[in-house]
Amino acid sequence: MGKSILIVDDSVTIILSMRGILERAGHAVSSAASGEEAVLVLRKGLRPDLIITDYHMGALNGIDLVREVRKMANLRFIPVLMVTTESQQARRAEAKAAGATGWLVKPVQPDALIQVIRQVVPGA
Amino acid sequence: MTAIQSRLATAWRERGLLIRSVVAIVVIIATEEMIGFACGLPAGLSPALAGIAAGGGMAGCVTLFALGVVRAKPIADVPRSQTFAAEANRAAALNRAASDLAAKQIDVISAKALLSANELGRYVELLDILRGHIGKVSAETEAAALDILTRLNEVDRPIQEMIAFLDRVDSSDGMTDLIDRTAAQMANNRRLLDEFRENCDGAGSESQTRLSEVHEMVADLTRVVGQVRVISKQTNMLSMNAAIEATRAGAAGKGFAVVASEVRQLARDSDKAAVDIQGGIANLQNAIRDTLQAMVHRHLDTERRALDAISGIISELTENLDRLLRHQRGVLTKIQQESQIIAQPILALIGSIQFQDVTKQKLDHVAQAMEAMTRHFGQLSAVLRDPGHDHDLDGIQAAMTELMKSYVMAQERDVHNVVVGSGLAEDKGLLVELF
Repeated sequence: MGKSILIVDDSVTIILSMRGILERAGHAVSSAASGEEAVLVLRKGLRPDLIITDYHMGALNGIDLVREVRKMANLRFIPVLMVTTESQQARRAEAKAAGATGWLVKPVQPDALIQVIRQVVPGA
Repeated sequence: MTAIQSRLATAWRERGLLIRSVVAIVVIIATEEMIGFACGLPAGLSPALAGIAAGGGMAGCVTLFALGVVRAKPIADVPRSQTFAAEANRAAALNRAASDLAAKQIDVISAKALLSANELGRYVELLDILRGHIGKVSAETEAAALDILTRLNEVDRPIQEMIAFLDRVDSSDGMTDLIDRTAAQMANNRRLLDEFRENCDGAGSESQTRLSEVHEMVADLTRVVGQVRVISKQTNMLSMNAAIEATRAGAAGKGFAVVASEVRQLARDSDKAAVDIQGGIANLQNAIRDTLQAMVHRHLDTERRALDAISGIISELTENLDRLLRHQRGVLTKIQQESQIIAQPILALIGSIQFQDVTKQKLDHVAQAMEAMTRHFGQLSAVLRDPGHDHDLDGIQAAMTELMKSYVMAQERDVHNVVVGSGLAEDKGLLVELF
């Protein structure tokens, strides 16, 4: 069943690639080009079933975004996946502590992405 | 000595043998006074040792030995005072020569340093050019990746729509349902034909019934005619009796005899008419029966033939339609399978295009490193232009440390570590990890 997914990444290539993969799987996709823009749209009332975010995005990085999301009462429990080129174990631990749901290293294989979404989003 | 200073010294050594010679000469002058005579060493040995101590190369050694040979002279044959004076003069001459040579060499070194500074300045320029190229490559790669993605999506969209359509067609309310409905319609057609045949057979029975009714009506008429004939015969008998009685009455019965005769004739005529009527009825009955039977048979045969033809056509139509549907279903299934086969690599390509973001980040890090090199070369150039002035000079090690910190990918760190020869390959962790 199609779900609502927000992609946060400063790379247009990644957003288009993810959108292609997710829309084919029947999901509705919205996007934000930075952590700040994501916080803005979420505060305006967007209620996605899943957030997929990059880590390196300028001022507000992906882990900061996770912290911001967890502060929002109605988004406290929605899954947030980090999809990034970053591979340091320390960053993963930091993301986990911030409340991220999972960590995927770019480039992400389409099948792997869909499989993970099925695991973390009920009914997907 | 810092790493930078060490590298500078190395660079200086590598600038040429001439520099080493100059350094060696300066060292000769210094050691000449200190150890040459005091230790009573042969005149050629002390400068040679000094030259070697100064770290000069082969040319330096050659120069030193040449100078030593010039100075080498047996001291036992000359009085010591004369030797001192002569040596002093020679030393002074050598000192002047060395000073002149050193001054010239310093000029040469300064010129070379300036040349090197200018060259390093050009390296700054070159690095800027290379960074520009990297930026261009990064931008072009991104534009190409976006173009590829857009086109892939354009191709993928109709394929996905076709697959969705085929899924719908192949679903229970699609092709299967159409086949089932067609089969049901054909069965219904056959049932209607059977009913129609039964109706035709019923029509034949009805004709027989009507014919029987005609028979009964004819029988009734025949009975009536028979009664008429009985009455005629009785009337005839009565008229004969009346004629006998009229004869017996004589003249009085003449009139009555005429009447009796007329009545008998009437009875005969009536009987004859009745017989004629009876024959006519029989003929009519036969004619009706024959006509009706002919009509019924003809009608039934025609209808049966028509029904057989219709039935045959419907059967053929059903078979053809069934074949058509099955063929169509096979074609659609094939298209569906082929579409899936095409769609898979397209999806893989859409995923693989993410490499551009990975590559862009790596190029960004290379560009950052080149920026640090540009800064560093600029500092080195400034030092060479004005060696007497204190300069802020970052160590190249600091730049490399910064570069290492800027990496985000294990692969980048691995490449760096392999080159600098430190550390093992990094644990990259899982590509997908759920917390």
